[in-house]
Amino acid sequence: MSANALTLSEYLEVVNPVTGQVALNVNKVTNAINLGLIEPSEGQALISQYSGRTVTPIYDATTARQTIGSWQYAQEVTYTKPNTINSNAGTVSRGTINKPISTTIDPNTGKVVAREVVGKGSRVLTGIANVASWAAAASVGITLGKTIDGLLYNANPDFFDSIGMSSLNPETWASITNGIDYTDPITGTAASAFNFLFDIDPDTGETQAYMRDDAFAYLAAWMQVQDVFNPIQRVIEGELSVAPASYPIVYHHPITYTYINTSNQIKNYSLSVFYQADAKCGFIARSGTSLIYVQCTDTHSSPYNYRFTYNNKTVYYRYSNYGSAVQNFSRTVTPLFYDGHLAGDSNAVKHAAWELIYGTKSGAIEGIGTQPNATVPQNLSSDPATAQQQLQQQYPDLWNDAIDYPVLQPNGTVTNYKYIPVTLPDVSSNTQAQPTSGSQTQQSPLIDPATSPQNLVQYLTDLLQQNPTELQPTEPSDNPTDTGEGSSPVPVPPTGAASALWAIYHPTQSEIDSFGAWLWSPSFIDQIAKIFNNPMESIIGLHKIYATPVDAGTSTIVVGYLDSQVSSAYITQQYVDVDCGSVNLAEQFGNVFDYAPFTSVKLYLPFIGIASLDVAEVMRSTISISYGVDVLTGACLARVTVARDANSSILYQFAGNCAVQYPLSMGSYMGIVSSILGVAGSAVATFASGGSLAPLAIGAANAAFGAHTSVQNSGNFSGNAGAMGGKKPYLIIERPQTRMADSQETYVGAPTNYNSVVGDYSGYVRASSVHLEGVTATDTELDMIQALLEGGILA
Amino acid sequence: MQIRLYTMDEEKNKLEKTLNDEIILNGNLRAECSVINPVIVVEAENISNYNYMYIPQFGRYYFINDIVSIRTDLWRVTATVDVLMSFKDDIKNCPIIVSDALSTDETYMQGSQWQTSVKTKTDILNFPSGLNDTGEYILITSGGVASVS
Repeated sequence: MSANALTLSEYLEVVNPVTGQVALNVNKVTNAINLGLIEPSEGQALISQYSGRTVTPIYDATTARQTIGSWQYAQEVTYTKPNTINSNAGTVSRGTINKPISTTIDPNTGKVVAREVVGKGSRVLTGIANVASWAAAASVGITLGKTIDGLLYNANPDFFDSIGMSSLNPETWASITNGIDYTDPITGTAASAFNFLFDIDPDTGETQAYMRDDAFAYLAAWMQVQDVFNPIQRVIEGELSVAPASYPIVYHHPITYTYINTSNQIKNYSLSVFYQADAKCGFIARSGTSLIYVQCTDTHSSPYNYRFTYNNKTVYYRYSNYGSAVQNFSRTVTPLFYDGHLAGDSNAVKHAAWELIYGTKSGAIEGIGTQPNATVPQNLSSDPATAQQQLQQQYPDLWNDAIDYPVLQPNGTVTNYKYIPVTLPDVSSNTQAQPTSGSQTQQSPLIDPATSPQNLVQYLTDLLQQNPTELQPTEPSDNPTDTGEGSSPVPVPPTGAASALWAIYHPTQSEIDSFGAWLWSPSFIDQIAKIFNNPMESIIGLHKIYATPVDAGTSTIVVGYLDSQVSSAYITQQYVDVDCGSVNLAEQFGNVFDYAPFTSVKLYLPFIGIASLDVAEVMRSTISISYGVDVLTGACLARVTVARDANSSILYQFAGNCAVQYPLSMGSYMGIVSSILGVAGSAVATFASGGSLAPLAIGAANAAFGAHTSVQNSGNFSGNAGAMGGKKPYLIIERPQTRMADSQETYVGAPTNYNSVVGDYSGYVRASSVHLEGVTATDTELDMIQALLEGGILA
Repeated sequence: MQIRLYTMDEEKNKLEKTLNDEIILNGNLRAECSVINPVIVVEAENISNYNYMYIPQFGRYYFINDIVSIRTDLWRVTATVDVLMSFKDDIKNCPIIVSDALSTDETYMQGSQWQTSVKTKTDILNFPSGLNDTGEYILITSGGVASVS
């Protein structure tokens, strides 16, 4: 068990609102985040420590919007009363942290455990864990078809440094990471952490990892900027050297840039890539005493006074003459701009600057390749939001297989985070900054304990053990939390079918037409066969349903003993589910107006009608609808799942029928045939009793040439009004138009129910019950006081 | 006995009132006088503008109900005790269960204060997907499936 596991009382201390008390225990909040108990999301909570008269916040309260990951400083309240830490008054910070949906109390053990949520298919969601950003980024690369091997890190030991990754968009980075930091003890590279979900096949143990789609897109956009997906890559080669003493820089990777000048002379620039404190990257070009500094990010600030744009990429640089001579290096690269024409001295500098930052024509980043038959992003944007849209189009299966993970927000609404499946790299721990793809590929994303590398299996085990499993049981409380929990059982549709007694076909229109043509074939020989094996008796029904059944295979349509030879798909799975998706029903007013009697909620369900929902049950929740459809009868059951707080249950079920019945005409061939063969009697009555072995009665009941085929409709064409209605559910929300007077509360107050003393209030206050204690007044005056207090006074 | 006259322009049901334009009259209580609803004859110049009174001997504040001019500089003042002002310190310490208040964080409790128009507005939230728009034929026959391909 993790050393960071919380007891239940500590856990409740973290998740319950803290009002008028000491500040939240920061360490416990951090632990709770670490353990995945709390899903950081924008606008929630704050974290601060109280220390005597001076607030010692974890994050500087004077700086607005300080964050831990995406946690923001929500509120600061000054108290004048002493608190329990010491007798000094001071600024105490408070806030609320919402309990995540992912946990529940095991009724058998009384322990807080990760709640099982059905993942995809038969897999079960096991919970969330922290994955370091270098592993997360490598996951994205592998999922998008790239390979990563150790060669990458020879020249780029800190390729996946989170400082660089976060620079693409720091605000977005803060919202997609969870505030946990890691450091590689060997390289010193820094990493942030992402929340990952994992589900596991209970039978095979195969595990699938998921990450948030916006985080996925961000990392993909960052890798696009690094030219991971492009054939022309930035090449930084060379050896480390010593920086000139006059420059406060970190010095890396010098190369020699060779070009031919207008005098047809071969000249060299010794170029070095370095990182300065206020720069993302840059280089010094040294030729004689000239120094050129280039910054590869967009800036117009001094000291950069030149810029050069090529292929929509700009470098900024300046000339400067100071510093001592730097040794020349021996590596040479082919100039990008040397196309056979002479490059002038003045061009060489800017070309060298551009080329060093944005790459050469030669090859991809060493150590990064492409998986065979993999799909690699095309023309991916460097803007994360745009990249996400592009990826959704290029990789629709990732979003189709996504898991929706709802998180309750402080305002009562629920935000659904979409987690898409990703392929984990071969990594041993969250402190390993140089992951490789190993045997994991885009096509094989599952971690199979039987075949995956042992270090990856161990890593996964360590990640999943971050979930708490041994918290202490709770005691009943006088003040239970205001949030519910628990889930209704998952419905399991019945299976099995008496497939020898009946067949369910799923024909197309043309196949129905062909079947009908066979059924009503005018061929005399065909009719003879059908006399003895009346196919109409074997047709149980024909209807249309408005769900897609699951075809088991293809067969010819058989009615009784007759094979129509008409091919059609057939069905063995009698029940199908149709997922209608989810909507979030959020409060609009944030007060009593969002509930009955002011607001009402109704639900239109196809083939069922409009049903009323209890607004108190469905407000500020995620409502999901799924239909269970019986293909055989058309019976349908709409299951309405309401997810709120830690509870997700089927609260409503409505039954209907989504089959549109079609009438079948049953022909009486006996009337035609009997006059020829001398067979009398009703075809139906005769063959129902004996079939083909029934004796033929002599004596025509009807003259053959005067006989008419008697047509009898079988079944009722009940039709279904629902087929003429809409096929998508929708909520009908009736909301009031409020007419609250300005400053109404100053006249009549707002409803409340608190036990207090009159002196605690200012302004309008009205009492429902009064204890006139310690008032030395006459009886008449006491009655007057009570009447006034119960009528409302201005305190 | 001393009575103090004031002008007061705040709400009657305000617990602690601001008193202005104080004048102090001294004299002797010559006849019986109710502590709750005193009627006092005072000799003073024009006191017709005063509407509030404090009698230290009674320890109470009063709303002046009526001022009758008996003759020049002689007035009859009729008053009723203001229990809120008179016992404000004790009242402040009285425990109560508050049913309505100006300052409250609770916005989800029912009450007659919530006013709406008879008009409503309708919002529709569509679910992202549903049943098929077009139907699928289902043919059911007896006898089971024949050949499978």
